[in-house]
Amino acid sequence: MDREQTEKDKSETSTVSRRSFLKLLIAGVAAAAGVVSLNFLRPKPIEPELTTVIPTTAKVTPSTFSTTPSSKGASVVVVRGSPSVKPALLVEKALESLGGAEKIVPSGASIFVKPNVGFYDKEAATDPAVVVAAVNCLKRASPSRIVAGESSVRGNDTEHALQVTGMRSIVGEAGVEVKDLRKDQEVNVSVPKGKAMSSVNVFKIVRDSSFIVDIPRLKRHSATTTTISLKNMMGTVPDSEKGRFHQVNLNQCIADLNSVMRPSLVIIDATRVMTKRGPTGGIMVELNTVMASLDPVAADLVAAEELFKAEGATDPTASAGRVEHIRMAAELGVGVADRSKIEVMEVKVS
Amino acid sequence: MKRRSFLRLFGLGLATFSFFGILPRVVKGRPLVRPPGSRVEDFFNAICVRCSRCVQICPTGVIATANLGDGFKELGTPKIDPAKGSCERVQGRCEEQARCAEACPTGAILRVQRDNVKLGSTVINTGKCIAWQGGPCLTCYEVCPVIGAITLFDESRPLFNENVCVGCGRCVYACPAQPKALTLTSKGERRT
Repeated sequence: MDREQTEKDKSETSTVSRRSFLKLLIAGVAAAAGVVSLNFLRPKPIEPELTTVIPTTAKVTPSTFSTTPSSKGASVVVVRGSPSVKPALLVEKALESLGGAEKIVPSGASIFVKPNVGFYDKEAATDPAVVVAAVNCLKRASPSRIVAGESSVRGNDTEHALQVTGMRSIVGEAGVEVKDLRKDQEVNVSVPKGKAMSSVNVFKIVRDSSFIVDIPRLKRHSATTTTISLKNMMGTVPDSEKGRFHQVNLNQCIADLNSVMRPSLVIIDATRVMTKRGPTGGIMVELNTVMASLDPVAADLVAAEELFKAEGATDPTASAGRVEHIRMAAELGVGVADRSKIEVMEVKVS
Repeated sequence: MKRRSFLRLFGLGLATFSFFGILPRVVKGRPLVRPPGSRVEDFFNAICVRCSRCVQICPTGVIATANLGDGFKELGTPKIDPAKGSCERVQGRCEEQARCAEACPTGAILRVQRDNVKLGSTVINTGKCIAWQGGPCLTCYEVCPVIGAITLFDESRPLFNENVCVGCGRCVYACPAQPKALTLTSKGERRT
C-alpha cells in the first residue's frame, strides 16, 4: 500500500513537473519573443509622416519677372562696399540697380523670403541685417504678405537655429514673421522636367507664395562644392526629402527642385563669405559685397566665381563652371550658366 | 508540497531567470550609450531609480527608456537613442543647462564640464555610406559640432576619429543612407 502510494506520488509529480516544465519553457520563449518583437513594433520617429499630400501641377512663377529664357541672357548686379559701409546700403543699391523692388515685385504678390539658417552658427547663416534690408525694400512694392521661413539641416532644430543666429528677433522686429517650416504642412509638387525625381514634397507656404526671394550666404560646401541660391532652396523641403536627395543624386535633385520652386529674386549675402571648407567651420573672408539677380543660375555662377577668387584659385571662372548643380540647373532651363551671356553690373559704394 | 517538487520548481525558476538574463545579451550584444555625465555602468544601474525625469526633460528627446531587450539590470534606465535625435549638451539647445543632470534626483547623472562630455563614438560602415559608394553626400560632416571628429579622405569621404568624437549622435540621426551607415557606440565613453 505504502509502496503503491509512493509510486503514484512519484508518477504524479513527474507528470506534472514535465508538463509544467514544458509549459513554462514555452511561456518563457513566447515572453522573450514578445519582448524582442516589441522593439520592432515601436514606431520609428526619424521620417515624419506626411500631413497631407495634395497633387498639384507645377508651380508657375509670374512670367513677366522670373522666366529668363536661356537664349536671352541674364544680368547680375555686384555691389561692392567697404568695411565701413552697412550691408543694408549694399542691398538697397543692388535692388535699385535691378530696377527697384517696386518694378521687380508684382504688386499684391505674396512673398516668401528664404534666408539660410541651416546651422547653430552665425557665420554659417545669412546676416539678419541683409534680410531686414531686403524686407524693407520689398515692403515698398506693397505685397499682400511677406513671410520668411526655413527648415534647417537634418539633425538641427530650426527654432533654435533661428534664435542663436538672431534671425528670429532681428527680422521679427522688422515686422516679418519667421516661420519654422517643419511645423507647416507638406504638399506634393510634380517635377515635369525632373531627371532624378518626378515629384517632390515641399512646404505648403512656399508653394502658395507667388514670389520667392532667396537670400543665401555665399559659402563653400563639402558635397556640392558651393552653397548659394540653388542649394539654399533645399530648406523649403522636409527632412525626408532632404534625405532622399542625398540618396538619389544630390546635385541633380537640387537642379530638379529649382525647376519647380524657382526663386524669383536672388540676393546673395557676400559681406563675409565662407571659404575653403563648408557649410560650417570654414575660413571667413570679408568681401563686403552683395549680389542680386532675377536669375538664380547666373547669380550662383557669378557668386561662385567670387568665392573661388577669394580663395585664391588660379582660374575662378573655370572652377565656377565645374560646379555640378549650377550646370545641371542651367540644362533644365532654370537660368543661364553661359558666362558670355551673363551681364555683370559692377557697382561701387563707399 | 514535496521537497523534490519544490527543488524542481526552484531549479526551473532559476533556469528561466538566467534564460531571460542571457537572451538580451545575445540579441543586443552591445553596451548602452548613456546620457552625458552618467556614472560608471554598475554604479549607474544601482543608483538610478528609473524615474524617467531625464527622459521627460531632454529638449531633443534623444533619451529613451531601456526596455527588457536592453537587459534586466538596465530595464527602465535612460539610454541615448540616436534614432530619436541627438544629445545637444555639447552644442545646441542644452549646453550648460545640462538638463538631464539637473533633473536626476540620485546623482546617477552628474553635471560635468562641457569639454568633458563624451558619450561614446560613431562607427561607420563604409559599405552602406553614400559618400564611400561614390555619391555626393557628406551630411555627417556638415552637421558634426566638433571640428576634427570627422575628417575627409580625398575631400569626399568621411573618416571618423574615435578620440575626438563626443558621441552626440547628430551624424547618426542625420545620416540619410538606408539602412544607416553610422552607429553610435559607447566606445571611448567618459564616465565618472
